[in-house]
Amino acid sequence: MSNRLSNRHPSAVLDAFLARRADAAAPISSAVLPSNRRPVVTRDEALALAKAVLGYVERPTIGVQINHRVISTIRIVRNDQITCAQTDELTLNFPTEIGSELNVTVATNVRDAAMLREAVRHAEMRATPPIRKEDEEEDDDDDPIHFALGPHTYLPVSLWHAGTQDAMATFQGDVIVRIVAAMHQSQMQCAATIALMSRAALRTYTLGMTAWGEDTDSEITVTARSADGKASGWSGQAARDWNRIRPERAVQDAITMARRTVGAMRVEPGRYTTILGPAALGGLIVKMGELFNGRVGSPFTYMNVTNNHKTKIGQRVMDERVTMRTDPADPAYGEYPFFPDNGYPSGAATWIEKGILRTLAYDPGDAQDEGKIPLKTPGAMQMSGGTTTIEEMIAQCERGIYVHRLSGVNLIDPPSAAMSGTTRDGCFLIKNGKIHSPIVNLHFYDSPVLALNRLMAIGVPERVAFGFIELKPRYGASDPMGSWPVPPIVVPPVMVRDFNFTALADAV
Amino acid sequence: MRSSRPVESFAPPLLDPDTLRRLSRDILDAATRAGASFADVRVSDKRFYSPARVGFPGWLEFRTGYGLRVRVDGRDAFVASADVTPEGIVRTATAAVAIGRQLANVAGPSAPLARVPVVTGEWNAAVDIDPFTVSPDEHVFVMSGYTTRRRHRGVMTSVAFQWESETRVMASTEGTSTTQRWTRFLPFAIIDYAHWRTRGHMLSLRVAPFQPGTAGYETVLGPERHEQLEAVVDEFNTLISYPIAVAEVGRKDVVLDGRAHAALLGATMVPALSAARILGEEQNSGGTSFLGSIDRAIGQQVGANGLEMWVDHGNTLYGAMHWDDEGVAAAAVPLIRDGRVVNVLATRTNASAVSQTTPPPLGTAFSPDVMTMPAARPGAFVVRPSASGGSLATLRESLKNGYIVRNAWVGADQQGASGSLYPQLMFEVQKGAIVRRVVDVRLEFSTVKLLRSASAFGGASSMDWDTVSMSGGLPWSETSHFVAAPAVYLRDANIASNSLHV
Repeated sequence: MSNRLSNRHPSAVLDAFLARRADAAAPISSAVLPSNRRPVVTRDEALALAKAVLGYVERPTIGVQINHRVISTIRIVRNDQITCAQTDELTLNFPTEIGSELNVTVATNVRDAAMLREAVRHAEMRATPPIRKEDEEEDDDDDPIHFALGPHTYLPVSLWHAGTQDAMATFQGDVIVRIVAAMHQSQMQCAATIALMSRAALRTYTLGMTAWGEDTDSEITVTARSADGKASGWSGQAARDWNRIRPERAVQDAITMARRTVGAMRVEPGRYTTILGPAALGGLIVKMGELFNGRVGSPFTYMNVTNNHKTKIGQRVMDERVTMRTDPADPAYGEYPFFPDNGYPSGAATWIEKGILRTLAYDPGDAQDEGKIPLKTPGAMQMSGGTTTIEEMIAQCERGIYVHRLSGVNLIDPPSAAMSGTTRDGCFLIKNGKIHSPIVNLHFYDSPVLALNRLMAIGVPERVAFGFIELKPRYGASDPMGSWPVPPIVVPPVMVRDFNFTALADAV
Repeated sequence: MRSSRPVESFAPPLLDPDTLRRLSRDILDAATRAGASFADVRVSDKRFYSPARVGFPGWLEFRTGYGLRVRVDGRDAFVASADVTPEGIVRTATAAVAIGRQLANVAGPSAPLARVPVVTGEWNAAVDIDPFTVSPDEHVFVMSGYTTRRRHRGVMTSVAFQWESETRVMASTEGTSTTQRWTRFLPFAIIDYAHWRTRGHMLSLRVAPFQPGTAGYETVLGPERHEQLEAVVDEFNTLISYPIAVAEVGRKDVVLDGRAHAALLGATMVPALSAARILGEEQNSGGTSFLGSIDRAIGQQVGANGLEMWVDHGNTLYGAMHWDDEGVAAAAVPLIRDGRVVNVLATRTNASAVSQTTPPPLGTAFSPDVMTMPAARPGAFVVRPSASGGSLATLRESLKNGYIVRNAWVGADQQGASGSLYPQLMFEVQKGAIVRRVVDVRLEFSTVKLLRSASAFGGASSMDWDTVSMSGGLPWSETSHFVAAPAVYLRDANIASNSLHV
């Protein structure tokens, strides 16, 4: 095997790739770097690398996944304690899509050419002997894997923004100076995180399927707290193009919100007419993805089962003003992963249309049997909106609560879609159409699905910033994203009836 | 992946310790030449293996990398990379120093690093059988032997194992150089039951003897393992056979088993005891701490007398290390004694902010991956059992009218000050005996009030564990932690309804 490797191994391809990657490393190190330095692999480089790797793989149902991600993070704490971190990680996975029960992935980050060659060699070694169950037939043409891994047509996806690439190539000193100055002037204890990312992913199999995606993303989040620790405000902005971010505005909004929460009073827990700001509603919607899991054997959820063992497809599950969809090709938002792990080009999906459940997520086997399109459970989500502003919602509210943001949200009971969590960084009592006073944070226990059935008003959608929060769901598989960034969640502010606040929270 | 060859034959050999030490010296030399006044680095070569099982893909991963922290003109910068070529090392070091210099123009100085002794040495975790020397076929065979379908009542055991093996070198420009090699075991072993009677809710009970640890393949072998599993299956079948009712809301005495108690402390006290949270370093991510300021934290009464919680780096516990990732000896650290906070979790970078006169104990800094900066997130927390405490059954028998909770999940607010405990299995107890299983309720709590209501702690036989996650640091990351705790008797816990009816 090693002789064959050394005779056929296109070392020039690998060496050239590594040289190119080395040259593009460490973009944040200097302000004099050319702004067009791309941090991650190009499509051609990834394809060349994949071709070199797959050239030694005999079984057509072994593929290669190439993921390259560069993240630069600037963290500001206690107003001027600043630390910067940068990670650059290129990983190769070799998934084995043989049958449905013995998939194995071999993964490695790429430290040097020797590691790459080892990965190729091990991919080849895994190809022999055949990796399958004893009773599994060889090369079953009806195996849905052949359908999924064959050639497909992909819509072009353009989620790359030069503004973010440029920001990664230059130290954001001016931005930091302005942010720090604003924090000092506020006389509050402030913290902020600026994060910039570029990412590329390729999935390819010798059966013909090749899926490619690349994107950039950026975010700023700011938290301001009073010196006595009894008031707290937050603001965040997220956009794929850093040039759309207004850092100073985020700082001022957080400080303003913190000042408005001084003197919080206690209210009786219970059911209130509630205005959920976009950040608050986004905290609920981001946890809904697994509710749409239609795979055979998946846990019961509100969407995928009724009392007579059928799904709720075709039934009204929310107010008719609600439509929820995911579109990987949307240039402003998109989705990540760009495609499922098996690479099938799912395209845009409308999960809920005017309140009616239209589709669930299916793996290729179930989809082929059911005559449906394979879909992964959504990470990103775009929700429809209306025109009512938050101020107009407040004016319509005789007695209620405005919630700026939520924390610690978890899906507690998938069959009812019940979630729990706590309000955070801005919670206010509304009386007679006006903000009456800030209030102490509250725990809640309610279902966003049921809440959106009690919809009173809906506003203009916007993308929500999340910052660095735990996304791992309590039920089901771990979130493939792990940490940051959260796939785009685009939601409006909403006013709902009888949202359930269960107890006062002692936290600020 | 099916093969009779050992798993390690499917991965490149681990880099030997000498190579990793040489890399660490090269990286520190590059940082010094670039202009860093201080630098430390963690270099790692590691692998993961999780055997395939029905419905879950197997995974074999091998990773190499390093994380370099530098201090330049009093400011900190961190750069991580997997490029171990000489050119790559120079680029990484240059980048880190350049970032630090840029920060000097805009940032206040970082807190002085706490002084620590210079140490050198090697440590290898005790392992009898390296799991990577075992073949995939045997891994699957042994794991499958624990997975059986109990068709009666729809009860099924689900067992999966994950193995980690790592060689990690930590070195600093102060002269410290430590080399550690460990193998870690992360099991997933539950008995579960999903039936239309439960309206689609899956009930489960963890197989406690399969606990995470620093151990080799020998930990999953032996007939006693099957006996332990059978005992849990029998117990679970008994528990789910009780009639079901909706619990009454209101205040009742509640006994939490060790796992529920560990989950409660893991969601509240473990993050609250972090100096980073107390000092506001995590206020823009995970949150702060209900302990308030450092001045108020130390000495605060947070639990009943008898509550004693430690960080434990014991040799077989998950996260066992001889030195932490700042090169400090990883000693056991008391955090709570007699219900009072006695220490908080700090690192060299924030220890002086905790106290300059009485510095907090160090030795708890950990990087979940060397590509993240070390943070005070040790692997294992242990709540000491009561020397005179009884078993879980003993505590249950002391309940005249209340509830007992077996397994639970806890959600807490951003300071750990309050939250809700969601029982996996909860039973009504009358005169010391279980009469029925109850559903549709949760336990709402204010942390200190609940912990101080404890009137009895279980003994060693009631110990159980849970894994909890902490998040934070830079780059932001999540780490898993092992929390072990005895059962506990709580007075007047607040039982609330989970009904969503408007």
